[in-house]
Amino acid sequence: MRRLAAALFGSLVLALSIVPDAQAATVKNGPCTDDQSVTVVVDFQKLGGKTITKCVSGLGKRATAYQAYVAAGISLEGTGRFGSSVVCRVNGIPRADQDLHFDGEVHRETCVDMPPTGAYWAIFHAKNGGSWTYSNSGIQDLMARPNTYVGLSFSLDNINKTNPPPRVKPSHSTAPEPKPTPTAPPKPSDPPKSSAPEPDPTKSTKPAPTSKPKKPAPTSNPPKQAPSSRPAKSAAPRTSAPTTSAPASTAPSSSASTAPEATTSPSPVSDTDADSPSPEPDATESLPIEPADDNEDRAADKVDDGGVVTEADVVADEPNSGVPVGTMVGVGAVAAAAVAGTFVWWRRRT
Amino acid sequence: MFRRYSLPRPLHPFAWWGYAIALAVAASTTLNPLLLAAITAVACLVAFSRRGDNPWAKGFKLYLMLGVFIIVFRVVFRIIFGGGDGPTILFTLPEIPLPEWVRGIRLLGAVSLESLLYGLYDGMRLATMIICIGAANSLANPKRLLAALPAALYELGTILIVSFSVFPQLGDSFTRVMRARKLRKTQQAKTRKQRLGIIETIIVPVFSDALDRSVSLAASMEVRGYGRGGQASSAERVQSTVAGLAAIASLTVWAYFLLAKPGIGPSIGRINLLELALLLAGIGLLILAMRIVGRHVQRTRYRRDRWRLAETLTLLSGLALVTAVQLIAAYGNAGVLFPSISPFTWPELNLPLLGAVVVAALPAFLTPPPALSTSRYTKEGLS
Repeated sequence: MRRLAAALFGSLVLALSIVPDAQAATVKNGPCTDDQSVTVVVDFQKLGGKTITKCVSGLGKRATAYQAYVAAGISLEGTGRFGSSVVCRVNGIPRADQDLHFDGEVHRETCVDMPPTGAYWAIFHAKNGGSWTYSNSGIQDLMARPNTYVGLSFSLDNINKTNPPPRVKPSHSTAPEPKPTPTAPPKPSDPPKSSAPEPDPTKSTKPAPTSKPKKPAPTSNPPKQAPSSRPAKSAAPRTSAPTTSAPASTAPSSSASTAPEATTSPSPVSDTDADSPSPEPDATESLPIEPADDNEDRAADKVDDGGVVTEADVVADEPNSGVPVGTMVGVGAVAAAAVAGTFVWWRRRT
Repeated sequence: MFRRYSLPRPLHPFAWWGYAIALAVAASTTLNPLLLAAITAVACLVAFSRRGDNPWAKGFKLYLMLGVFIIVFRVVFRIIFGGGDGPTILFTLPEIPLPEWVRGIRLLGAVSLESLLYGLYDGMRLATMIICIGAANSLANPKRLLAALPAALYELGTILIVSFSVFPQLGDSFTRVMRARKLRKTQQAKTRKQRLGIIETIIVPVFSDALDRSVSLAASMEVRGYGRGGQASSAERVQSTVAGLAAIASLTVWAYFLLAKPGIGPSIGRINLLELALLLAGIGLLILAMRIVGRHVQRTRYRRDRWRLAETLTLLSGLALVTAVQLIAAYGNAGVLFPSISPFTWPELNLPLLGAVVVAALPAFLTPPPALSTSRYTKEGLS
């Protein structure tokens, strides 16, 4: 018996020790240009955000659509009951306090149970050059095969047959060599065009071709530097910031943490657009390499965690490097009630 | 005045049940672990300070254990059945491969922090609701609750009381039989037959005891005139049947509208008038039917529970919490009730919620203390 227990324990330890490394996936904005990668699309439809198109390459053979989205740095929120087998919010949309009108009713998405059929994220998939097909399996079961498209499209007030597929044509030419296309942003969506090209000369402090999934920039065009897998910290966040004009309370945010780095680039253009909470002090410094690096490290750490930098982390980091006040107060209230309850119990017991 | 208010007495059972159900409804509306923990703590505080010392009151810790079990169970299930949905992988267990046709089910494999949190939040919600109901069960004596039922449910109440008393009585018989066995100093069982014999000598006396008790209970009830009825005229019987059927039909249609196809007919704000009318008509007809039936049940009550100020305060404090939570869910910043997990956000309590929780804890201090039986002070070791 004891030997059996030891064997079990040993195998458990072994299993724990061989945690495979995260897939070295690389992401670039816009649709793919080769035949080995997966293009992920998010179309907010009537919710009115900018459509996101990203190309993820280097995923494993058995990667699911969910992993492709996570690798692309798009945050998916599941429901309390079904976990992330169900897509409830994409980049924080629809927000919890956003009124969705369908069926003559007002609905608020709470992400507790299955979203209603009148307002949910529909999953589509397509072969390159094919047409969008409504997926009949969930996002955790849909395989992200090479040279295909997976798309999330918000279906609001539709019936089964009229779910709108993503408004991105699922086809691209598969050139043998993915070429950097500095001048052709796939989507002409971003207001701060002016700022986009500048940050191109990325600072030397940043090793370009690290293969880390990078989070922010839901829409953001600038593939100035296409092959660099971590889409140029300085560039992407800046352009992404304005897109948060779509609700996105939680999502594309890492612009906040990464924005300061932009200042290290030779021409720190119009940072005004970034409604980032913190970086003002840094932005004024002429040589903010240290803080930037520090910040980058922190951001990178979070990326290492699993590819997602959340606004919560970022925001929480800035003011007092910890938990928000509301949480502290809440914990205090719970503790006070628990202590009072224990005291009463103890007094009545004796 | 104040001394009279704070004289020890048990509160009206409906007050405790209303309060606890309000807390449970508030818990079902949120996934915020802090709010859920706060509601649990408040329910525990109130239950510990205002419960009596009857056997039901002591059952509260069973509900607490059940709550803990639910939470652990949910989290463990997330680990066993595919806990990998989330970017933050904590550890990876060896995955048991399953064939293609059971896609969607995964055994073991990677376990992520997010999926564990999903399990934790969801488990906390169910556990909190159960603990709230457990608090009501230990605060309000179920016998007194049934005594306070309307007259039309009198027969039903009698049945429930008899069945409620079964388990305490069985336990009582069991301890009696065991004590007798101990006094007899029976021998250790060695063979299988002897072991079966032990069971026989326990179970048979316990069941025969139960039978004896029920026969004597039935006899005493008959002597006291239970089961006497049938004084209603046939017209009244027809009226009550029709009203009852109409009430049930109305409530059924209302339930259909609620679940199936919402939004037929006019509505004010978010309240659909047709649904509201169906609900009110159903409840009204039900009350009417019960009044007609209950007109002929005559019974007297010994020391009936009165509804006084403390009862109203208790109910209001529970309603304050549920109202606050519902208002925030519908019109306010609903994100605080449903903190997102997958991009992790710290759960918070904002000021309105904090205030509502504090108000919900007030019955622990504002209600009169429970009337404890004095036996445990006089007779040591009993109770």
